[in-house]
Amino acid sequence: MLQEESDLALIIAQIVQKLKGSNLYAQLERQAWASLQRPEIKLESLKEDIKEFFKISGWEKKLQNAVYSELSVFPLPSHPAAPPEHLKEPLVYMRKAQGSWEKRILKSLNSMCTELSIPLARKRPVGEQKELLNKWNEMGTDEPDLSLFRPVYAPKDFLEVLINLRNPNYENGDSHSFRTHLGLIQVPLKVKDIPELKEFFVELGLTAGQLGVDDSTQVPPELFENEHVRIGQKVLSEQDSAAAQQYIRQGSPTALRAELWALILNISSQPEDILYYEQLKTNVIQHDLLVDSLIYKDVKLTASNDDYYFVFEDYLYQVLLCFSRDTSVLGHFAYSSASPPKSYIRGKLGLEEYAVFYPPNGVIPFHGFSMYVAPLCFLYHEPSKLYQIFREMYVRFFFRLHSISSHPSGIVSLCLLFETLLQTYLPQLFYHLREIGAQPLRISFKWMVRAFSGYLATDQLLLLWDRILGYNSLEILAVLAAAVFAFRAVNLMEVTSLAAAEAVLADLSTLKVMPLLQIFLFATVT
Amino acid sequence: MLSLTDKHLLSIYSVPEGTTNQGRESKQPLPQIVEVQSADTQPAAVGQAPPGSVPAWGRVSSEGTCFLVRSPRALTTPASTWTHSELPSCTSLKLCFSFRMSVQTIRNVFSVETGYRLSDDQIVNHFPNHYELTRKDLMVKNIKRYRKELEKEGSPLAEKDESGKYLYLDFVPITYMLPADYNLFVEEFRKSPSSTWIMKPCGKAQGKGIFLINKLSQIKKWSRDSKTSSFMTQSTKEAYVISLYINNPLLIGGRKFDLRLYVLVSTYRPLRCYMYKLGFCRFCTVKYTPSTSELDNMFVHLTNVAIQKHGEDYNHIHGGKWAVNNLRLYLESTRGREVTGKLFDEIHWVIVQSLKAVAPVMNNDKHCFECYGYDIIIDDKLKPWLIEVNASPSLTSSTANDRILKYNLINDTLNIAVPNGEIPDCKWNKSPPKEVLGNYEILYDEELAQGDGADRELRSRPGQSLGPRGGRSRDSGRTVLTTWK
Repeated sequence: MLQEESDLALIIAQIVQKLKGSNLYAQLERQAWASLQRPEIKLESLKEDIKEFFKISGWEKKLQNAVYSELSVFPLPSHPAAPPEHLKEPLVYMRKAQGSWEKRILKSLNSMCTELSIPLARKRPVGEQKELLNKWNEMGTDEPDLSLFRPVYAPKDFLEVLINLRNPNYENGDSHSFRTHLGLIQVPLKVKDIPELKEFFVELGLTAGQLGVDDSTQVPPELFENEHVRIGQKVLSEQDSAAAQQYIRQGSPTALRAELWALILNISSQPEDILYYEQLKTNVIQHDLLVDSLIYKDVKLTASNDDYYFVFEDYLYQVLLCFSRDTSVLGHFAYSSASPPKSYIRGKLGLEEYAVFYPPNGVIPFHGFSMYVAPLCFLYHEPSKLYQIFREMYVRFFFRLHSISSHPSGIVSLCLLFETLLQTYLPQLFYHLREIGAQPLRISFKWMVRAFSGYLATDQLLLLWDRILGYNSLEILAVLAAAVFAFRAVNLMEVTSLAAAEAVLADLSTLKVMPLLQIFLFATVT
Repeated sequence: MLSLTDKHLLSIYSVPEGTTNQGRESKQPLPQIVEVQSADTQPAAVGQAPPGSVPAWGRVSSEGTCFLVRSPRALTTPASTWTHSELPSCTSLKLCFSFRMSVQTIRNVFSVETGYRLSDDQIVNHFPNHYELTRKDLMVKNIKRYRKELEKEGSPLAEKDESGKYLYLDFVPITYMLPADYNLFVEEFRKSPSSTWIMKPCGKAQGKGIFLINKLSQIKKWSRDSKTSSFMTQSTKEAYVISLYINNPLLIGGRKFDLRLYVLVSTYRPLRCYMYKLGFCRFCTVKYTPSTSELDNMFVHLTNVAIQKHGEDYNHIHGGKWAVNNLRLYLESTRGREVTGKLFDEIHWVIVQSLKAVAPVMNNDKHCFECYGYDIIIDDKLKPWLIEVNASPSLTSSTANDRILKYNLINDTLNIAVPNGEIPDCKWNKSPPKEVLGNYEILYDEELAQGDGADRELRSRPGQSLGPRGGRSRDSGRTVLTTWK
């Protein structure tokens, strides 16, 4: 009991610490001062009256949302004496692996830099700045020569690293048991099995209404949809983050989705935020980074050619270029296993005073990175809001998909979860695919790394991401991947090569995610 | 049901009556689909070839119209040189399908002198006087006439607002015929001299000959009493229409786009039409700007793929085409469900009204059906405008997805027009069962609308008829803006 209390006290202290530096604190203070003018505030009962005032005026709700947001993002402290690295990643071997992966990426970036003799960063001449400012809304037509640039890495390179992960403390003897060598991931992490998943995803059960299932044309709207929409509107008018998160587990109506996501992510477009975005834009205009070319290349290779997202190409540049200059993103490295790469001013290698983070936000984009932003363009057409939402989605979820960690939502756990589900519930299929040299993870890895963006139809993808937000977890990606394999099992049993298996699973654009998930979780005889 | 793939060619069996030149001298029954034949294997008969018939081939022109050809030689030679000739053996062909009629030849079929008499088991894919709808000047004329008629009847549809604009029937931008209405146009132009107008030749397609003007001097040629008119006779001066340019189109990603929707009409009286669910938006490759300095830049203003594909930034993978479902999702997410539903309802309304406008003058031959390509532009107030209707919408494909879409379009069209893949009987009631609709949805069925009337409980969700969920059949007109008759 005492332990819990002291844990709670620690958490509260941490959250208060964090919020004290935020804009909300300043606003609350201002509001409190202003409220002294009000007649109902009396000196004798000052504290209670102000609290009451906050409750009525909705400021308490805002504070509640902020606290909830912090709770969702920040991991609970394990032990007061735990060093900060443990907050990032408790397992040493994972930390080491992430460290060496980062070294490799940076090496690759530096060598490209030297090869092409392009500086990592340079200040733009005034003429170029003006030109870029004019072209800000149509950077897609700019088309610099990108032929020499290569993406720093692609998901499959990352997969190879994950396959080679080993826990040095885990020795299961010389006999390589059947199970351990069945899948690609060889680290012993705890993942949920189907009964646990059923409990975790209880709102997706067959007895609860779902958007994505119960809003289809054959179902009369009175049965579920109308009521659900009504509740959604109520949640929005109450502006309650936690309620929104609970609500969205059953899917979000299209018209309410943009606001619901903003509420859950605790994003409100304040003038300061717009100003901040403009500041980032100025940074982009003034300095040119090597990373920019990587971003251009990535957008041109992926989103520009995508049937759903090509329309929003210009937005992607506006978001990603600013993103790479945003130093506030560095904050997420406190709870991510990754660390931002450091770069040194020319000639001062190794001297810490001359070290800067490169890129400024510490995130080096890889092939397909822009696909994290693309689906959001369907919801937000105002660049600064789009930017904020993306940034928050990144520091809450997406960063876990390309860093090595033991977190249950980290990509390693997702891969292991996927493989375990497949092995346990579709052993025949798994064995068959393995025999023909088509390890299932090799096919599904790219889906999970991109959170299925670019593989599913957009409306289905948004329904999936609703659930990611609702459950504050990426595990659903692994479950969906397994469900897709289960769905196409019959065809997959017939194939005889990796290429053929890839072909069977090449086109996911016709899939409906919610029925698939429901069948896999709740309707399959285990 | 016929399913077309790239490897099949449709063999059209026709019954020759000797070697008459273009069939002028004899009343020659027209060919119909009876067989699907793979280019490299033996024919797999689907229907019965009429006795004494010989195979022939169809060819798709670059405009997407299909001609029947009688020899492989004709696949690559101009139409004017074709004659009926002996048929050598089959050569392989990429794609073709069965329609005998192109917009050019349909005239021959139904003209009084050449007078083909279509027999009961022959149907063709154009209405004889489709140009009433598909020529830009006639379409506007018919709509204007329709509106006046409704006004005279005192119909609530023809209601006007305070400024004299039709409340429900204002879906075509102000248009004048040139040179006929030149003076009327000048009057209108002078009312708002900073407006931009768009000049379109009446009979052309693919954006050919279109240009924008914002000064009267740019169209001096068409002035009736211009000096130049004495140099050319009226007949050689090509007929143009001039419409108020919609300079505030809805922009997505900063680019202008228009909607291409396919509508199949199986009969005009009673009106029965179907809307293809998989329409698409055609985007310009260049950012939109209403600036007058860019009026000449066709890449900014004209969305025709024929034009855009020559642009620098044209992408061959998606071709600038965006599915209508994406548009719907985007608008619902960013603008809300009600206004999106209202927009799509209005689009359906516009299409049905345009068909109703020409229905009285259309030659409702029972042998005919037609698939139109509707071009619609949405302005930034989410109001749809009917730009034009195409009788021969392009059936060639610019991208892989496009190919699939167009094949399915043809397949579904044929399934509705020629049910069961059997030899058709034009006397049938033209009411196909629901299962064959494929990706089509009933847009308007006059018989059903009149039959059920007020008793019908309209269960369809507002504005949901053609959403990403698809498949909702709008049986009769819904009470959208006013009662549908």
